Amino acid sequence: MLRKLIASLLLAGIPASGYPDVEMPVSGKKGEGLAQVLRLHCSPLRLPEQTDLSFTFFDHFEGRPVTVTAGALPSGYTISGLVSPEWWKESDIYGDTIVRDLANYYPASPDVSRHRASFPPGEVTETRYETPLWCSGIGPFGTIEAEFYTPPASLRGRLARTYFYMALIYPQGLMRPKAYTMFTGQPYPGLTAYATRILLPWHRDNPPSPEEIEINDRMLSLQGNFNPFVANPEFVEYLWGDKAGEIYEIKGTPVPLHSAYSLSDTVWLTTPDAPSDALWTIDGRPEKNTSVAASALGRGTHDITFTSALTGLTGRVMITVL
Amino acid sequence: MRHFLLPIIALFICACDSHTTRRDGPSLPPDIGNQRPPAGEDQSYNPELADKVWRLTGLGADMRYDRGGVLFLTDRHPGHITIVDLDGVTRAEFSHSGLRPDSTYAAPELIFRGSPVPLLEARMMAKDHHSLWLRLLTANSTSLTLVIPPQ
Repeated sequence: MLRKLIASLLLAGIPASGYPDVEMPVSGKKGEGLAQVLRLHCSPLRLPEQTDLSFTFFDHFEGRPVTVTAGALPSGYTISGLVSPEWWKESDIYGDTIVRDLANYYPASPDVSRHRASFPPGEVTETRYETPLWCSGIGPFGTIEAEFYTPPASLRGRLARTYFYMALIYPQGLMRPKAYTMFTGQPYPGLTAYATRILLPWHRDNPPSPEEIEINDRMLSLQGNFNPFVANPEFVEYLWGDKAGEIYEIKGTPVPLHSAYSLSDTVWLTTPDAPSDALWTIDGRPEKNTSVAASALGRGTHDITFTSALTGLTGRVMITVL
Repeated sequence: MRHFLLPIIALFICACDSHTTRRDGPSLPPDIGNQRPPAGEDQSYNPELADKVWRLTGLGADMRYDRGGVLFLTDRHPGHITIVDLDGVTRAEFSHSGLRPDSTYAAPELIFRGSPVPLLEARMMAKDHHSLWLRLLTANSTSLTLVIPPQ
């Protein structure tokens, strides 16, 4: 039922919150503001215990299904993640958030534990371990060489969206040097130029799979959250991709007031805090229309106010037309 | 949520004229003239009072009217104001139940990013027909500056 809800919301051009009664106020946001909204609404509300976990997943590294029963893993497998939990300070296997978050949960086979270890993903030019599905070794990182692994092709889209999720939800507290290959250790954008260079093509070339939607279902059930980049892949473009820095708009709906507009924009006189009976003024002049062209206002700052007789609220905000 | 509490330099008001907005703004309450705490009070609330821009500074956020996209919401109840960052998720609400003769507010409450910030004191530092300056003292003795439209 959750998948049908998400699918219907996606078709409607509305970000799939996964919560029928919760809306993410993403419209009108960009960059760091958009990241703030997504982080606020998509962080785990709780984390599952090991014993909560009973499911079968496909291990792309080994090319076979793996079953977890009440947290118990097949022989030789260890608890791990697509993004190495060791990268975070005071990481404690299944004792801290990084490992327990189902978005990143990915038990490692013996070969993966040994030959992938905590390497970041990337291009391997000198192979030291190889299977038909993946490899690890040495690769270029700027002017130096470092240890990398190249993930299975079937996993790259999910891996990319997991990195985006981790950069969004857990941007700080990194310690191990390997982490700084991919993360900046700071909030948005949170990813290095190297990371976006390799992750964006993987994300674009491999849309969210049924497997990822199933993981989102499981997250919603056990953690009360979901990976927004699986529910709405377009968010990636607005945060790190071709539309980074652009205002996020939901098709067919007015964009709420925000700080800056270009001359070609429409200024919609709407904001969640404005009551339905709000009377608006722009620069002291009453405005009866629900929107006005930014070009009609002209470049510069403009003071917008509303008053509500029903609620007694008065709102004041300044916008800039660039 | 984390609270970012930073020390704020206290200011002393000077009599200045026009508001931060460059154009005729909304209708304001009658000008009741400059008001400030009696001489002999803490004079260390400088240089914040030289800045007339409505704002809340401290707590890791710089919510200023002149930054753009920062909405100041007042209602018919004079003891309540909400400040909203329309570009992000930051929201602050300040309320009180009245101004005492010593310029402190009774029962001050501050909610920042959804979490209460315990206050030891909220004091009116100065007022003119455009702005009201408040100094908020948190439970861990951090000073915050709140400048709002007079209500």
